Amino acid sequence: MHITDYGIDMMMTSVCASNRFYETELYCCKDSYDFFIKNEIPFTQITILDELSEIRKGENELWSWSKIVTMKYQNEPWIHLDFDSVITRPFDEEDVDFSFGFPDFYVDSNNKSITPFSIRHLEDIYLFWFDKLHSTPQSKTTWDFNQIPNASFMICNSPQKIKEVIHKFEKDNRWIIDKENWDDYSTDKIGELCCYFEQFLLTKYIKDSLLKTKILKVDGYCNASDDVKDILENDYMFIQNYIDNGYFHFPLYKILKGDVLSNIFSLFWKTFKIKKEKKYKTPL
Amino acid sequence: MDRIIYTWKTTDINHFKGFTERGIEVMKLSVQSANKFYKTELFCDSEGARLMKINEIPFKKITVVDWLDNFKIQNWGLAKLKTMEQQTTPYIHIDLDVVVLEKFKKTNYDITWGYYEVDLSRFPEGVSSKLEYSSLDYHLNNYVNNAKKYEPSKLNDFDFGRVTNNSVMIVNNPYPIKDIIQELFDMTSKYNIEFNTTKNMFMEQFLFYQLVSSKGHISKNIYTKELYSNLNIKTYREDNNFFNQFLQRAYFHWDSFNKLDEKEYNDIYKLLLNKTKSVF
Repeated sequence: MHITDYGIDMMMTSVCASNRFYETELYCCKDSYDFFIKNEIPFTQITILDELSEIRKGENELWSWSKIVTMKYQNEPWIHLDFDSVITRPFDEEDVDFSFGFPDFYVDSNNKSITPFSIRHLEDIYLFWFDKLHSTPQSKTTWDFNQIPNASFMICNSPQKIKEVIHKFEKDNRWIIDKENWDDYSTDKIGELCCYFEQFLLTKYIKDSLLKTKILKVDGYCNASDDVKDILENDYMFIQNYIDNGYFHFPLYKILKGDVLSNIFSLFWKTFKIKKEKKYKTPL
Repeated sequence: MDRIIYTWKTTDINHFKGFTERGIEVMKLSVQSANKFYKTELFCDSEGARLMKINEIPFKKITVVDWLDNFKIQNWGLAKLKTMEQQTTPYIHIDLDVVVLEKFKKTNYDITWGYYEVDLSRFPEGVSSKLEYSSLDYHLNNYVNNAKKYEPSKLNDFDFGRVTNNSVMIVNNPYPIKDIIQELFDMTSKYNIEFNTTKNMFMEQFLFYQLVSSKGHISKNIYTKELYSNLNIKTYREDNNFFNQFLQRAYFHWDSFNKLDEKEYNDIYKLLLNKTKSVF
């Protein structure tokens, strides 16, 4: 994995922002442990999981599998964040087993959510991989593609029930992880497979187990679209809207111009009171 | 509103619902049922008139028109729009697989479609309550992919959440609809000649609805809000009572009659025949 200085800035922001409200814990493999220590990413605790260390390494690593596997080691209610997810207020308590921060694809009653972008997104990720992996005459008419959540924020109030879900998920889908003979086109879409796994397939298993789920907010998701990129490149202070949202996902950092990012991260340091010197040790 | 109009254009491509044994039976049923409440008129080409007459399809009036005799486009959905373009007084246009079960309620909208063929926003409360792959796949293959292919510069203007079905259209104000159809023919002139089933549906249904929707001055509505306003065979086979709900409505779009087995077809045909006889 190639991690840039901005990538480490993003991690630092995410962890420091969370530390203001919660204890933070990283579950990682042996190889990445050193990286987090050397760069002083300030987790409350870091735990090396053997299972994560044993996951096959390669160009097409299924990173979302690690996220899913980690869930079965949890015994207390938990919140899982991606490294580009930032909390600016504590979450309200919800009377459900499992919540997601934002939707990735959903249909609303006035169709405003159905855009060419969203249709293409649905097709590229979910319909493509469903067709490859799980399409049967029965699943075509029973699996639900509405309300697919984004997995950048996941809040679990029922860890024991989720453990059971994960065990079944692993049992049924391990063959996908072990499969090696992907065609070239599928190999190019392994990133999409990760999203299919953690957002569509995992949700299906959770819902099939009759757990109560919820998507917390429809608005406020800082998506990686050209529209938002253009707005931020014209006025980086627009990021304040996302900060005010209570939490936000910021994958856009990977494609914004350097000067815009520098301004945004300066704002983050100030907002989250992060004191740091930029002497990162990125992996070779 | 006292007239129902139909369109027939004989094409080089065999229409799968055309003059087959079942096709003729269903056409007769459609026209008989419409005759009960309306004056029916078929606009057609010369060959279509000949076929309708020898098969005794009971239209009140058959009008052979130049615009269909000379119509070179094989996508028959556009022939229907061509007929609508020529109208100057209010009308209801229905397909030959639509059975009319009661007089349509009066509407004040410029145009009212029978039902949405695709309405993604309705799935949370629809029959299945799920947004299924099969529905999405249908939408993508017939509409979304054609929009990308033929109108890529307009993608951001389109509402991909809804597509109307054109089997029933009630038009109170023919003039703005005429303008829209002319615009549609201009817009599609580079690609509308060559036949393609999904392109035919895309132009006739998706584009027509999008163009109407884009004009703020045209009022529009949907007559039947329920999903599955046509016969979903899978649901029909799973639920014995499924078909009965159609008999309570103003019309029944029997687009799947060719896909049913003999018994299923005969059962539905008898029910529709009895229903239409009971109101005759």
